[in-house]
Amino acid sequence: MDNFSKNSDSNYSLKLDIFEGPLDLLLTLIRDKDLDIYEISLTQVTQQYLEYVDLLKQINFQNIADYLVVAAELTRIKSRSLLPQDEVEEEIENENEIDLIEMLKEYKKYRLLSEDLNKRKILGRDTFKRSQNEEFKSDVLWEVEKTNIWKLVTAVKNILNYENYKEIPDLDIIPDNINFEDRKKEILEIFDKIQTVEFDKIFCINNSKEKNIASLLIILELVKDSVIDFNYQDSNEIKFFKRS
Amino acid sequence: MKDLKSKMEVLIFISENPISLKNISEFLNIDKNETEILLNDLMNEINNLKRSFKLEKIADGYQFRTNEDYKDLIKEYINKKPFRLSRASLEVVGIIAKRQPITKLEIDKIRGVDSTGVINVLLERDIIKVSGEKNAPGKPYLYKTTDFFLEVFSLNDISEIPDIDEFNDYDASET
Repeated sequence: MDNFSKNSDSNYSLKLDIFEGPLDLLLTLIRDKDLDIYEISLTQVTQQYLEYVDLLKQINFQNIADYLVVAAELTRIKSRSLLPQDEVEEEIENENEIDLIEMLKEYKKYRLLSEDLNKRKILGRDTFKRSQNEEFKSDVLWEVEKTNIWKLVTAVKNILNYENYKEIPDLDIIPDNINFEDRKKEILEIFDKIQTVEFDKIFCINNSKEKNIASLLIILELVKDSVIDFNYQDSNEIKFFKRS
Repeated sequence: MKDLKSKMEVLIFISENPISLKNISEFLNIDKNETEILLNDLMNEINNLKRSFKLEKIADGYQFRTNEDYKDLIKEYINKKPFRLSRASLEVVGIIAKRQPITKLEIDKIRGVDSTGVINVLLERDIIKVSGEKNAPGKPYLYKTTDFFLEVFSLNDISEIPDIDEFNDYDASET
């Protein structure tokens, strides 16, 4: 990790607004387990949440502080759930605590509202008005992002969970120096050649951890800049494709 | 009557943006209530024809809009790269629509994450606007949705946005 953050300039920190934030992540994890918003549900997804934050840290993600606030609160709730009941009551009155349950419930309402807005007839997507010029110059065409970015992050996270990344490398192994620009060129060349790019053409357990993380950062950037997009079938297999 | 309705129809027809009831009634010199009755008639008549377009009430005005069935054909014809709204930006615009006027800090607090980038995109696209400053330390900007927001989301009025407290009972389905 240190290798590429030193080599590359600072604009490789990621400030993607394609991530909706820590509450979105938490809500996604809770929903994936078919849980409702209760304290007990939070303790069940804490470990997973921390794993995501760990990965976001590694891609030098700019809004990481917001994720850490929620991580701290989750850890606190989890450790409190392990305490004997009478000690819990003493601790519960701390005013500095954020009420994560309330925040999540409130956030979820707006999440649903945004899904509701997306179902409306959007001008320039579902319906069109008369235009004053032939080329529709002043008209905006819209589309709403369909893909859930956490799906992609999850897939990469699963790869990085493989055993071969867990061992501390021997000292005589030369660290894999990842040059971002080179890797980006490599990835773009793949997209020039092939229409639909399979997930393991980019992310692979034979690649070093650094290379996979660099690739994730590059792929996220390309998705954000509407150069590429991805979809996934029921089998959860992610496929990338170049956007026209 | 038929004549009046036709006059209204052409006024709406030539307008690129929704034309308001007030404009129509003042120009034709007809009482506002009567104008509204005639316009409702006109809407029913036109929409019952089941043409490829409809007359709709948008942003407190009237506008011809195409039927959804033709969206793919139209997009193919216009042949322009669409502007992509992120899921995050839909979320922020929903928060602003419900809670306006609202500061960035208040939005961030609901979302649990910084919304600067998303707000800038929405401002650039005229979906939201700065409506003033909050009388609070630092005089933060207050944001509101625009009329263009109503147009884009096919709303006649901001009150058409559903009551979010009713969302409480059913669960988010993945889209």
